[in-house]
Amino acid sequence: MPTEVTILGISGAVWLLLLLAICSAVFAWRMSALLRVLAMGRRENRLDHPVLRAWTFLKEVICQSRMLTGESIINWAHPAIFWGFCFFVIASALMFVGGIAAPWLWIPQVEEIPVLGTLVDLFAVIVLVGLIASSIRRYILTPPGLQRTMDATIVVLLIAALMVSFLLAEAGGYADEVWCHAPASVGMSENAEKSESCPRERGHGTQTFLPAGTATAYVMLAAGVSPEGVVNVGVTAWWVHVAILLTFLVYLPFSKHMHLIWAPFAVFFAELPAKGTLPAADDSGKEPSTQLGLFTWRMLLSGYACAECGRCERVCPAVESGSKLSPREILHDLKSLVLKDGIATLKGRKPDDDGREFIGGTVPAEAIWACTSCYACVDICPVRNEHVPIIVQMRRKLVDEGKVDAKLQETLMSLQRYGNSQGKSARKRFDWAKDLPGGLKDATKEPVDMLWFLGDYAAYHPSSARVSRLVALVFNQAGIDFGVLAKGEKSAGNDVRRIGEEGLFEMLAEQNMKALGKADFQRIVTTDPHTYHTLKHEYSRFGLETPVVHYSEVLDECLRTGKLSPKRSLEGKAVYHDPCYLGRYNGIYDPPRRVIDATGLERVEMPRNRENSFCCGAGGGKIWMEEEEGISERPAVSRIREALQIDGVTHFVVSCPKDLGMFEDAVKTVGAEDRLRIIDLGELVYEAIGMEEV
Amino acid sequence: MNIAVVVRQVPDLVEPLEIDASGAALDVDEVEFLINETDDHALEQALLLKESGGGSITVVAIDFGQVDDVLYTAAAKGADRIVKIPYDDDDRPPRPAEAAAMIAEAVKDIDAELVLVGSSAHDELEGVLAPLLALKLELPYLGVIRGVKPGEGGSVTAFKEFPGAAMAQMNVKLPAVLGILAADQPPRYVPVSRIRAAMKSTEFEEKETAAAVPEPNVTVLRMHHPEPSGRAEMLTGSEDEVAARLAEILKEKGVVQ
Repeated sequence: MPTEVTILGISGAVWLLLLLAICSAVFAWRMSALLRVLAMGRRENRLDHPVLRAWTFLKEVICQSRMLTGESIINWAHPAIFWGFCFFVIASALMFVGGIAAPWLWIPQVEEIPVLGTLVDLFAVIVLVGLIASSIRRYILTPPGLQRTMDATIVVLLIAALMVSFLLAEAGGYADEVWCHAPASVGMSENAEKSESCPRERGHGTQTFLPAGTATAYVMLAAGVSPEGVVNVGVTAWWVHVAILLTFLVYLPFSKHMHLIWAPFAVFFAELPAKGTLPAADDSGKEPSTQLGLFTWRMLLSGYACAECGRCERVCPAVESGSKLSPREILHDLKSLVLKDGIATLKGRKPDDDGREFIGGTVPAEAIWACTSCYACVDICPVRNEHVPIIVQMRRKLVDEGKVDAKLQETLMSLQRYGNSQGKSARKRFDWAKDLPGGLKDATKEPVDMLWFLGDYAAYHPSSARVSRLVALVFNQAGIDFGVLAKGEKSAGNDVRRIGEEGLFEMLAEQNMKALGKADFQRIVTTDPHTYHTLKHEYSRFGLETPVVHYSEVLDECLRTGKLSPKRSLEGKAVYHDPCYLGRYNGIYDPPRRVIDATGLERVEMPRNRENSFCCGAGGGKIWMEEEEGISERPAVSRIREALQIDGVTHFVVSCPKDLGMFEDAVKTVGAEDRLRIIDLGELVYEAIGMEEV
Repeated sequence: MNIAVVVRQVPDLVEPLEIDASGAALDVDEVEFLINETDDHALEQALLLKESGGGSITVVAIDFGQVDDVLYTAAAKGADRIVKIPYDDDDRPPRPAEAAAMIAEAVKDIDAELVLVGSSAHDELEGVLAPLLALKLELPYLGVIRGVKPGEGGSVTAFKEFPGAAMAQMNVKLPAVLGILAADQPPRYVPVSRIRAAMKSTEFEEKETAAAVPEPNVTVLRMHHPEPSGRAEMLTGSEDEVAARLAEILKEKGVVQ
């Protein structure tokens, strides 16, 4: 072992032990500080569903599933480097243990272990190739949102140095084993012969096939290095390798690459099982002592776990439309806050923040309000960070301070007063059904199978209310026994929650629960994905247990069971826009597609479809806000342009009442209303089953 | 500065207004009430004055309609005291003279240096409540104010807009009553959680008044929705039918030959 040397009169093994102890102490000190900072966050239980968590960990950390299905180059380079890292953890552990124990006890080194040794040897090369590829991506191809930071450069160089020094050490071992008594000038063939006569020492098992290490040795020899030289370089390289490892140990918890330590935990403690169910507001009534206390510990962990890969930024509709929001920067700022304020608080100092507020200061209010809560960033994040809940948490603080724009304030006041976002009388919620043949059943007066929860847009927005009427006619045609909460239905509050007005959300939910409590029904249906999401996942804490379905599922079921049968085949080429809260949030992709197929339209996909769907820009309460200045192109317009690139497209099918209005506006902005018809799924079925508008 | 703010209830015009069986008044049971908009501005102005120069805010209201909601909201926004004046008649909102007399009595006890009240209300466009109140309190009055700033030595600076876009900046020696049209900034948003917290923590002070108010010598004879004059003819039917009828009418009227 290379530790069987004496440096300054002290055994190499003792040196190694000493260095390891010092560096581990620094590492442990820093890690304990980081952990104590995390503990400053609000409590949140993330230990539920342990089996699902373990499975997610296995899939996403060990098997790197989110990386493998991600962006090109890094989709293989990162898993390669990660798996290499896992093997090298074993190799390094054996190096340290073996090196320290060497004077007394022989611990086999990784290159002596068959198969494992070969794998580690190969991974040294694979990791190097991965590093080169990912460096080309970072420094030459540079996707937007990926930074060329000094930190990244240092880490890449350190890992590369680790691999090279490992190979050199392996080569040294090989030379020591095979050519140990060979003269410096001999050629390779002679060497091979000589090696036969060499006495075998323990260690450097030549039974293990080490192609890369051996090749390195031969390359060095060919380059004119003597076998002893190779051996000596190997010993030095071993020590260099150890030194880099220890440097890494100390450097890691201070650098961007701390994601290497924290990301596995971030994935394990991910938001499971449902997506986008925000934590309730802190109702303890106590003001947190630091700004960190506003966030849950898992939110704070996001800062540590963020690898600054920039994926969130590349999928963000707000970023694409030129707003001030960058989900990556928000996490970066949060990380800076966690480190600065957190460490300062640990040391008993007041955070040195120049009196600058984090929320609305470091992170500008415009950025916080620009989010549409589409969840594309959370969905794409390889370490399962939760940008949207973090943004909502910041909004809660702004709302608590009354810092909302005039238009939003008017909407919130309307919701407080009338229970809807439209500033309309609650008595007019069902005006769209005034002349509906047969009228609407009131579920509070007679039992129904299905309770239709409208939502504000389906009730009041002119286009969507018209569609509501058609959907009611289709439901009647299908023989569905349905009714509504004729009195008492209020906004379900999805967007209110995303605005950060948690108190208002709770008030609306309580009012709705009161009304629902008076009704007799088996399941809830809604045309609105926002309402669907919140009723399905966020009303359980108010006691709602009934199943919730989206009308696309109901229409699909009716068409498949023959309760509805198309009378004519519609003509044209249709694209379907996946609403964020139906698709990405709840994984409902196929029922609406099957419905379109049943109408006879030719269905084609837009480039951004299913979980990669592109938000219309209305969600998260964005539809209630004044437009941010400096917007280049609204997301809905960009989406329409995307659809128009498809040759011969005639129908743009939506299944969300907000989408209808958003895209009707957008198609006019583009001037393509003659070419592209924005049509709701319900109206499509209405036409296909051959009903006449009555 | 000790500020009193008067807030009133007005019918919410978003909800349909119904006339009651007498045919001479709104059906109060069907009316939803909300804070009078300019009173909301008066409260905001008081909050801004308190924030810039300290002091205390007392909100005074007559117990009518859904006034509790308004008062809790005011408390959540930062009002220090809430004085509610009992009022028995659920069917008839107090008339301005009545209201002025009751409020004046309550305000006297508060010992306010500045009384802020909305300049007018949509059910009282004349804006008599504020001057009547000043009269009862024997205080100077200045109305249609768009912003108030703290002034020197027991005074405030009030901003008033005149037609033709002339702005006047006036020094008002306190005590005084100001009729507010708009505060320096729009009324703030107060989150529901704070209103709910205020509901738990706020105690209303009840202030019985015994103001004698003469019976009005004006009686409402009839109240009704605007009636269509009967001159309009709605064209119905298919596009062709509508177009044919339209052409016919245009000919009849001699617009086209």
